[in-house]
Amino acid sequence: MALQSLDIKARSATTTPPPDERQTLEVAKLIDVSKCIGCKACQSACMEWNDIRDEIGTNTGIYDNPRDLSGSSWTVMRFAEYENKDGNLEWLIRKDGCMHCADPGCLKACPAPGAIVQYSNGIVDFQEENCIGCGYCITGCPFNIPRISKKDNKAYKCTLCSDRVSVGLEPACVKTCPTGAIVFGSKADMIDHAEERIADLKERGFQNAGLYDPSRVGGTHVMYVLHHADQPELYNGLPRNPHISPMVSLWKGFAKPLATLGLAAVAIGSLLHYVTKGPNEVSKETEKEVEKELENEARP
Amino acid sequence: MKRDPRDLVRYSGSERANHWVVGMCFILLALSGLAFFHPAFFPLTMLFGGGTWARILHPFIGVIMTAFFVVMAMRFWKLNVMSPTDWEWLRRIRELIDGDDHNMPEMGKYNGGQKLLFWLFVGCVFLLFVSGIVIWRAYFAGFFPIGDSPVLVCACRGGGDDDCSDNGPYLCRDLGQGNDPGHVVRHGYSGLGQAAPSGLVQNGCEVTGRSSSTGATNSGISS
Repeated sequence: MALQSLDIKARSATTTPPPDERQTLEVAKLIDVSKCIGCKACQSACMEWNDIRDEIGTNTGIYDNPRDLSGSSWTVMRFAEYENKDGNLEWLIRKDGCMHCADPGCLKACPAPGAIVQYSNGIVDFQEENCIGCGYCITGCPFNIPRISKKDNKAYKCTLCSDRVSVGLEPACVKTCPTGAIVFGSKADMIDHAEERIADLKERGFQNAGLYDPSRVGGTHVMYVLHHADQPELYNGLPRNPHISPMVSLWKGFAKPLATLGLAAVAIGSLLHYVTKGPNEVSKETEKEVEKELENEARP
Repeated sequence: MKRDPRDLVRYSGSERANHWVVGMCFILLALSGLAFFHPAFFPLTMLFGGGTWARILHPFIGVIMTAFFVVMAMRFWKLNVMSPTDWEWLRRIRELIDGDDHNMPEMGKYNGGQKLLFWLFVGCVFLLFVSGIVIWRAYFAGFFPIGDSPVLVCACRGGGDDDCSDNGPYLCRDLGQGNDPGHVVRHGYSGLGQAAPSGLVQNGCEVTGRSSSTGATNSGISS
């Protein structure tokens, strides 16, 4: 972690450049949905490596367990049952978690300096010691990933095992995946690997197989190989065209400097008016004089 | 406080106290709120004991201000109804700003500018309060689960279109993708600074979605 502080590409609520002199290799995790068997070993590995244990939940009649991401569940398998055109069942299982966007909405929305950083290798990491628990990152995220912990009111999400990656290890979920559905490496290598997989899937009849690396968030550092890349929604609502909400862009982009200028203009304007025109005051003496005049007039 | 027997009592003691509470709350809210608005103002959180404390205190101060403002507005609204003379006063506002008040029409307790400002405050405090509740994550994320409340789920569903499967559990933030009735409601919600609390949208969607669109698939799997 220590040296990673030199490799910061972006830092939340910071208006000066972060220390990003060192350029590290852009990394990515590739999740091949077509190879996933839904064993949840990745969930267990994530819990184990990060020492997080969620509360025992309840069975809601589906395989998703825990039912959702939380402050102590940073990745969950989402199971979707899809009936294809031939009337056959396809069980689409997607490992959900932070996508590590190149243009991270959470970081843009965050008001606390340094609570969210983006390393030059592409990992977007929450620094909980700087987090104030406002939840703006949840608003900013196009994938609905960050969660505020009920224990400490800080925001948590997948770190892409930034601690492991910084010392040359792959993320825990990658290490454990028994089918090789999750792989990790440089982003360029992962795209190459995905292309091989997609060619293979196409040969096997999945004409619409493709890579999920959505461009409106600048691409992501967690990518999917989907057998139905034309319908990402099938995979438990994976957004087709994820992007930061225009409201967030307005709020954090345009509104900030405009409102700050507005405040300054009002302050400077008021001061100038005071200096040039002065206050409109009636002194006690004038008041008394006028009152006397009025009394005299009133007298017959 | 009447020191000169010729003075008029303009405000009672309780009116003054009311106004001061609103004023002090406003200043505290402005200082803590600005801190979250722009990084340049973030150091202001130090006045409140750091970022986390500012985040915790800000909404409570907001509730106090709103409560006291409502009382104050109820006390003064009748005095702030605009009259034709007030509009005449406003038309001559330039002269006043220029320091010349000789041609200004005679005013009662408040002039047109003060009255307009009063109504602007009424509107702004309402907006601040509502938006503040929506982004108060610590308490209201749990109490306003957009997918969990039956009323909101029905509103989401629109006219019986309960196929949620294509849109899944996520808040869809895409204004351009408004192909399900839930989008508008959900987007409006997120647009105000709030995402649906985890899991709750999912529950609503999944349960309904499964019974209809994926029903066949489900029975296929269980048999």
